[in-house]
Amino acid sequence: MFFNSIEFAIFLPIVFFLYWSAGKKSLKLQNILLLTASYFFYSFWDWRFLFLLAFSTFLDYFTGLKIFNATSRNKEKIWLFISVFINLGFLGFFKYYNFFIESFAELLQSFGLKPHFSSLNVILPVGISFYTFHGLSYVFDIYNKKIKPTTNWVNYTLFVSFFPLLVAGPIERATHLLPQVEKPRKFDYTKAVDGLKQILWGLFKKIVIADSCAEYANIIFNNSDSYSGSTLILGALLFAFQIYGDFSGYSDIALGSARLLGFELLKNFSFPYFSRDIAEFWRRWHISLSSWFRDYLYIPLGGSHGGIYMKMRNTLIIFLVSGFWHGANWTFLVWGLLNAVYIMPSIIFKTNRTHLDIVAQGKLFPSVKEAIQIFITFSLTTFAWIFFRANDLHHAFSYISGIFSKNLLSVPFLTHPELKKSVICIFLIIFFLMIEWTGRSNKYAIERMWLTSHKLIRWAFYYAIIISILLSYGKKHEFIYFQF
Amino acid sequence: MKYFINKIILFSLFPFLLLALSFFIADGTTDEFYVRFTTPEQKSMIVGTSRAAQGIQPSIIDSILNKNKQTSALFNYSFTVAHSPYGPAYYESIKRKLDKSSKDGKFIIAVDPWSLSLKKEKLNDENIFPENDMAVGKTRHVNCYPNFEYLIHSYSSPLLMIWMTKTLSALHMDGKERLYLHKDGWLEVSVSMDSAEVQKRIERKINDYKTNEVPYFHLSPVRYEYLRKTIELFRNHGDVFLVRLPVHANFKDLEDRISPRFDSLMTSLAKENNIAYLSFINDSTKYRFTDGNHLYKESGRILSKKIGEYILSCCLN
Repeated sequence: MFFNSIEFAIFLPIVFFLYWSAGKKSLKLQNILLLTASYFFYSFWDWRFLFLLAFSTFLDYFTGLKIFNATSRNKEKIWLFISVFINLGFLGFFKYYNFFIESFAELLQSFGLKPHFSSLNVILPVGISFYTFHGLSYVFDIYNKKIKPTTNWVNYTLFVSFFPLLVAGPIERATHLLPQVEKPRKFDYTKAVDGLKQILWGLFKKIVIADSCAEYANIIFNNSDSYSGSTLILGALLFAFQIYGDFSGYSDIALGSARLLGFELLKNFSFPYFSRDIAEFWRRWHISLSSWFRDYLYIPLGGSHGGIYMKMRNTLIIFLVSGFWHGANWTFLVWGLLNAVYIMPSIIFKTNRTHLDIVAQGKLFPSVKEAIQIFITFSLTTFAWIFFRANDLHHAFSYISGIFSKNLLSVPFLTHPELKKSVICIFLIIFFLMIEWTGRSNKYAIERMWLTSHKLIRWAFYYAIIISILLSYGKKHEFIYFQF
Repeated sequence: MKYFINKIILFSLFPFLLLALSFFIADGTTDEFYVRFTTPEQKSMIVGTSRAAQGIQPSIIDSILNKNKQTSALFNYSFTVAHSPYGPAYYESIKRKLDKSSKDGKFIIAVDPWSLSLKKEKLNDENIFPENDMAVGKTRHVNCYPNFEYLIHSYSSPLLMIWMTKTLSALHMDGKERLYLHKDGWLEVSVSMDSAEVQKRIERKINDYKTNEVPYFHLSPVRYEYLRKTIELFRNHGDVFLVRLPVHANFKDLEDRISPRFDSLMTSLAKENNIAYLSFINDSTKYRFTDGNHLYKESGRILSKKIGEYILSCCLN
């Protein structure tokens, strides 16, 4: 079930109504209902993988208790190892088995050998990277004595499989979400309205921005050999907005849906395309994953202790692992590596925490310096997205060489009839950026927009968004991050 | 909570009504497929690809047969070569559309090499036939009005476009090529028949097929088997006629490259099943085509009349 499907539009109100009705009776009933709804939600893709989800949940619940009750640190380590080994084993098998087999075979072939490895037709269970990380964070936190394990099986299972975050995050922490699961929740009108607004904005980002951009980004990337340099730049630009609209739109719908049910999830995006340097970008893009890697990989590796060399090494590892987390393809590794290269100067010169505030706060426009910084950061990011989107490394490099070797001055909309309508996307992006810029100090762009205006104006604004969604809702594109 | 729900209901009323009404105003202007999934089960059918969808007009055949009290109304259940080549998806869809109580129905099965072909690498695996994931393969309910399933899962435009296409059609502002899907399943295409424009379209179509289709397509034994099953299915419910529609001479040459002995293949299939086979493939000069592949509606009328007369003669003998 996709967040942008009719099925979800029916599912969510039913869950909402039953959930708050059950809330009057007991918290336990409410949680059981949410858990059932979450498993139903997940079964829409493939019910067989419910067993994998249930097993992964049970494994972390069980090892969490074992770690907590272990009589020595060594025993704790053994249970932690079991959890990590099995969790990453499943993830590795479903996500990376074919990649390793094929890469190894290619390597042997380059030495003139003819290996006979057969790749498997493995179906990637939706959300496996996300729920594996949920579970691991729980086990790590118990091991690090940050939390005590829960003894309530329903509560823990709900923490792992809560439907708004189950398939594409945000990657929650037990320290943040579990207490919310355990405490009674009261219906709050303001929060519920806020949740609906965030869902609406998420749908706009996904359906109007991302899906419109996807149509032309796909045409350009799939036929990159036949397009001019300027068109290839347009393709990269459209993909940059496709992936942002797609993933941050998904996160908005997740956060909004959770808020409707009385939960606050971790913020996942914070206007990343207005970042003034790459370090700021990574504090604002897929925040729950970046902070997960920071807490459970970067810091255990030594973090920023041990001098500049250690810091650089650890940062490189984080970005490579992050790239690999996204998928079993060399393109993701290069994308991670490229971002590591981008961020290194700020690590070396210790400027990676320069921009912690909101850009041009309280001002209508950024300063010239800020505008240049934003432009450079955005360009670097967009360049890296080429690797993220390309089918393979060869495709990525030929795409980039195409940008510089073919006519850079032609106007894509005029020279290619199939791209004529992509000019609409450019106007949509400009409009979208204006709204995002206006609301950049909020949780999401339209959080406070028209809040003090007359109800008629507010409703007209929301209706305009709804109409634009309905006018764009046709060719359905899956959420990109579902494949991770 | 009550206040919240009331407010949401009030707020949602406008978009909800707009959407809900879209389902009810959808009609022949909506797209080339929708109406076919909204009619009841059928006793007499025409099946095939877009060639049959545009070229065979049920009302013309009905008028001939009805005069002689020979049949119940024919329904054109043909789609396109991408959506309805013979195969598991189309076969299942036809079964759903067919009225099982039909005893003396008339069934026209339009055939051509494309509807029995596949790209080489997929020759025998029916599980990965491309049409399985398209409207004909995906739509389980083919006899209901309004058809929510089709409009939600297979309609390729935003739902609000239903309003737009209907309005534009009513104002005659729907562009150079106007499509209207009649309730009997015939797809009426109104397009300029200026000879220069027609020539351009024919050249474009033939070039496209020459480069993108002919080198890759081959007759598929699986598709052939499904054609045989379709004949068998219809034979249990009435008289079956295998028909090959005419195309532009240059288009026929392309078809001969895929299957040079297609006519004899069909003749023996017809003999084997004791049904008639009518081939109009060598009558190119007698008809006009919009693009070389599809009959112009005036020519479609003439051809439909011929088919009707042939069926009538069979019935009377």
